[in-house]
Amino acid sequence: MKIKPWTMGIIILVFFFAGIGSTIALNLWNTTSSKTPVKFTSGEYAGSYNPADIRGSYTLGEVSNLFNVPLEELGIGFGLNDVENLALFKNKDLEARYENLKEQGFEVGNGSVKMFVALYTGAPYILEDDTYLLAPAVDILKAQGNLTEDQLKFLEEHTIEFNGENINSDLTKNTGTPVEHAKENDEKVVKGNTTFQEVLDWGVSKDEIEQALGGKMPHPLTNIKDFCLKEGIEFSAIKNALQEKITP
Amino acid sequence: MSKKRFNLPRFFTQLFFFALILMISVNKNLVEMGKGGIGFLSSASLHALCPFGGIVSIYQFTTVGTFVQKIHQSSFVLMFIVFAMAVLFGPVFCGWVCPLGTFQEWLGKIGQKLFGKRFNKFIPEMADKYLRYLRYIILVWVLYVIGISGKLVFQEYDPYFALFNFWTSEVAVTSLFILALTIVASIFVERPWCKYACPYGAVLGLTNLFRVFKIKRETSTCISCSACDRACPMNISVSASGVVKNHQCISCMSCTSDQVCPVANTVEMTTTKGGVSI
Repeated sequence: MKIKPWTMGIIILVFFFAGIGSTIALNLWNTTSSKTPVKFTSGEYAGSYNPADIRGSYTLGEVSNLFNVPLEELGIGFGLNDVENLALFKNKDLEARYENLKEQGFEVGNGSVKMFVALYTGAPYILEDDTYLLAPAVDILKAQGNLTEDQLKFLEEHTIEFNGENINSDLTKNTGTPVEHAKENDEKVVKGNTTFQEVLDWGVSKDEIEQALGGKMPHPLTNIKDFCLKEGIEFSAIKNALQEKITP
Repeated sequence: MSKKRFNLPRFFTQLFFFALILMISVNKNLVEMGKGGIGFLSSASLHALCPFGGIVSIYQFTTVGTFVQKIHQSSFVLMFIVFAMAVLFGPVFCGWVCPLGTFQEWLGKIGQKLFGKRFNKFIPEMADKYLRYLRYIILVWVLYVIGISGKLVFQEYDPYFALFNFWTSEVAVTSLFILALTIVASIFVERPWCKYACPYGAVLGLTNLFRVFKIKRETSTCISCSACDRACPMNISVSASGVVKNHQCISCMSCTSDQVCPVANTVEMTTTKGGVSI
């Protein structure tokens, strides 16, 4: 059997189109990560999405749809009045937008979105000491009237006055354009995309990690957050325990 | 004596995939900028459309059950499609589909105009022979660093990613430098990245050893004009072999009787047995 150039060209196109087409039909063709957060499995919120699983790659539009938080309130709360297409603004871009705040030790990023959504919806959530909200976000939450005394007290100490000058000047011009930040995690901070291998590389032993987990460490390449969500462990608690071992 | 036909089907196929990847890359940027994008086109990232992403994810997928950061299920699907084609026809992905290969080939046309017969013959044979194994070293390194880190480290050096994303902040300076180096080298050597550095080409090249449809030369009708040797972009001595088993063959079919070989039914891609392999 012989193959001619025209036949070869057709075979290649058939292989690609049939291959991709059949996997689309079988629901196996996936070019993005799943944007479905895990759900609470027990308690009052069983069956609802867990705000703790909101990822930096989510856009505000997706957060709004998944958690029923009005997009406008997310925009006002996070000081994004100048952003043209709010629905396409990615959570992770908040960190770059408020980089100057981060330099001063006040991080407004994906963690802030999680906290805002959790407090807005009243879902169970462990408040993290290194996460802050802008004053307009706190005002929205107070207006909702769902906050407990402890939460109000926490917010008093974790509110950043917002006057529009907090914005990183370079990103003020950002009109919803997500900027990819592929830089390495030089700060040795346990984040949503940190793997156990990275923690090992930062000098924490396997025994210390297992001590923090209270059980066996999975394969080193496993994402810590994914592991916590799968095992039903609160990520923030593990994150803090590991962070203490990295920077005692 | 020598004929040279333009391989129209290969040109169309290469053009199609080059344009498709370019448009998808631009579309992704348009969508992210909130400018709508082109409706009928995918706005997937290039990582999601790279079959090599599947290869580098195999270890993590089998040990942890997840993909390397930025790689998705579609990369695995493409990896299987390309591998199935390679087992049957050799690395046709390299010769007919890969947009970086196409880009180098188009740049090579400038080199051909500038240097004539000297084009693609600048590197001494002995050095060239050993340099061709460099891509296997790169392959092992890429698999190792991605295996231990779970991160797409190769993106920092990948000229393919740089070519279709050079206008974004996602591209590392190192990959832009390697892309520039590849562009310059392409003026002197045909497909320099493919020959000396491409880790995916290294994987696919191995299928030349056992592929079903092989490039074969019929010795009884061959007139030993060496037209096939001169036409081969990868500098393989087709005229010295009965069956081309060289790990660098990209199945471009430039050497066949449908293209450059002046004698009908002499150099062909076929399943017919016979011939001495090189």
